Amino acid sequence: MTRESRARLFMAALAMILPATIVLSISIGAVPVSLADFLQLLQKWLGFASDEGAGSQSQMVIEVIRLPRTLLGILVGSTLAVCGGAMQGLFRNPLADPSIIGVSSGAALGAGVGIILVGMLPVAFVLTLQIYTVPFLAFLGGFGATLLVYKIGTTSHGSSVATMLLAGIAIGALSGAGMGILTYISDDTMLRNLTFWQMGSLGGATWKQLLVIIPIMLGIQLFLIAQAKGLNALLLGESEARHLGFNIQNLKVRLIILTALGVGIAVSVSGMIGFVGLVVPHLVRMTIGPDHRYLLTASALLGGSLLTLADVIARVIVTPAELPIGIVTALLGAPFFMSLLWQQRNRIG
Amino acid sequence: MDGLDVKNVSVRLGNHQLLEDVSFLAEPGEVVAILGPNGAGKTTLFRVITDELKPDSGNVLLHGTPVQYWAPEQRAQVVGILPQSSSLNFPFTVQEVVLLGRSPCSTSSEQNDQYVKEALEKVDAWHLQDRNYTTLSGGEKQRVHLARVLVQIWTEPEQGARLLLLDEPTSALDPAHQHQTLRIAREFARHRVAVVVILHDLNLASQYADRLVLLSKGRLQAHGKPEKVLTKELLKQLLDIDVCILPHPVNGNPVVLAE
Repeated sequence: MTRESRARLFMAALAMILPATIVLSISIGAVPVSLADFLQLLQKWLGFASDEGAGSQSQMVIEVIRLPRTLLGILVGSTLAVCGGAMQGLFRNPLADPSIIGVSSGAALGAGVGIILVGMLPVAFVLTLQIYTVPFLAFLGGFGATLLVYKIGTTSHGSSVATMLLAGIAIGALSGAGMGILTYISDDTMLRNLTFWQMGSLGGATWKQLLVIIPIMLGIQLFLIAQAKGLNALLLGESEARHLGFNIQNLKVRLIILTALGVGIAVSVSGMIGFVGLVVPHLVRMTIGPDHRYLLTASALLGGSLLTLADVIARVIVTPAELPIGIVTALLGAPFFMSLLWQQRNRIG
Repeated sequence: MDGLDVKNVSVRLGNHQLLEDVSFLAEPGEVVAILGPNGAGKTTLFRVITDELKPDSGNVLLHGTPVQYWAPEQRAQVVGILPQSSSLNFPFTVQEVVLLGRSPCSTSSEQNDQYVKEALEKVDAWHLQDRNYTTLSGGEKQRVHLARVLVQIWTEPEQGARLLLLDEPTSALDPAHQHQTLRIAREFARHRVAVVVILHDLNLASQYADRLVLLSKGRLQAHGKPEKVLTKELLKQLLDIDVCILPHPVNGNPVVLAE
C-alpha cells in the first residue's frame, strides 16, 4: 500500500473515531446520561420530537455542560495539534512545540494579566469582558513571545533553530517571573482562578464563548493546512525551499502569526495544556510519514479525539471531584517527550 | 543573451574581500567548472548566483534579466540548484524527497511520478525508492538530492533554457558515481542546459567541463579551456601543488598528476 492511500485510510479512521469520542465524553460523568437521552435530545434539536419528555435533567446536563465542554476539548486539542505540527515544520525539528519555544508561556502571561485585570473590575462587567479580554491579551502575549524569539534567532542569513529554542527558554523564565508577580498581587479569589486556570481545564466552556472561538479556531486550522506544500519544502532547508520557488519570508511570517493566534486563544480558554502539540503530530508522523498535506489534517482529527479522551479521564479518575486536564496531559506527555529525547540521544550519540 | 552572465561581481564582508570583480558566462549547452582552493570564494560566488547573497557591486543576469528580478516561482522552473549538503531530517521516503522537486511545476501526478522514476534510475537510486531518507548513507543522499534537482528542471519550460548549478556534487560519492554524476551533467548540457559545477577534482573537471574558471583569493585567476587553465605554472602558483601534466591517452584532455 502506498503512503498516500495509507494516509487516506488513517484519516478516514480518525474521522470515525472523533464522533465516538464525542458520544463517550457526553455520556460519562458525575450525572449518568444514557445513550437514549442523547438520541432523544438529538431528535429534539433536529425538530423531530417535542420539548416535553422524561430525562430532561440529563438533557440539561448535556446541553449546558457536557456538549460545550466536549466541543471546547475538540477545538483546543485540534488547534494545539495543528499548531504543534506547523511549528515542527517551521523549525525543522520534530521536538519543537509551542510550549518549548515560549509561545505558550508568553500567552499564559498575557492571559494571567487579563484574569487579574478582569478580577479587579466590578462583577457586572466580568462575564462579558472575560470572553474577549483574556483571549486577546493571551494572543498579544503569545505573539510578542514569538516575535521576540524570531527577532533574536533571525539574521539576514536566515534563522538559527538553536538560538530560537534558547530564546524560548529565556522567555519562559521571564513569563514565569511575571506570573509570580501576578500571584503576589492578587487576592484570594483571583489567586484561585489563576491557579486552576494555569493547571488547565475545559470546565469553563460556555456556548457564548464557543460561538466566538469556533470560527476563529477552525479558520486558523484551515489556513495552516493550506501552507502544507510550503512546509514540506521548508523541511529540505530554507535555501532549498527558496530554490523551489517558495516565498519563504512570507511563509514564515504567516506561520508565526497563525500559530501564535491559535496557541494564544487555546491557552486563554483552557489554560496550560501541554504536550498535545508535541505528541499528536509525532504519533501521526510515525503512522503516515511527515507529508504536511496529510499530517496537519490527521493531527487535527487525532488532537481533538485525544484531548477529549484526556478530559474524560480527568473527570472520572477522582469523581466527584475532577483533575485539571493539564495534569493529565503532562502525566501522559512528559514521559513520551523523554522517550523521544532518549531515542534522539541514541541516534546522535 | 541566453544563459548565465556573471558581471563584475564583488562581495565584501567586514574587512574581507570575498569576491573581487568576478565575471564569466555559462551558455546553454556547456559545462563550466569552478575550481579553487578552500576559501577561494567558490561558495560565495554560488550564493550570489542563486540570489541568496546580494553582491556589493556587479550583477548576475539570467537570460538577460538580473536574477533578483525573476519571480521566485518562475525562476524555480528554470534553475535547479544542488547544495553541498542538506539538513533534511524528517523521515520522508526517497520517492517523496524527489517528488518535492516537482513542487514548482504544474504537471499531473502521473507525469510527476514518471519523471521521478526516470530521474532515480538515472542516478542509480531507483532501488532505494521506498527507503526512509534519513537512513541512507551520505553518498546515497547526495544522489537522491541530485535526482530531486533534475526532476525540477526535467523539461525545458517556456521561460527559456535551463540552468543547473551543482555545488561539489561528487564530494560524498564513490568513483563510479562521481563519473556518473558528471556524465549526467554532460547529458543535460546536450539538451540545451547551462551547467555550472563546483569541483575539487582537477581531472574530473578536465574530462567533463568545456571551460574552467579558476578562483583564488576571491579573484578570477584563469578562465578557459582545460588545456589552457591546467598548466604546471598556474597550478603551482594558485593551488600550491607541484604537478606533471600529460595528455589523456584516449581523448587528449590534460591529466594532472602530483609530482
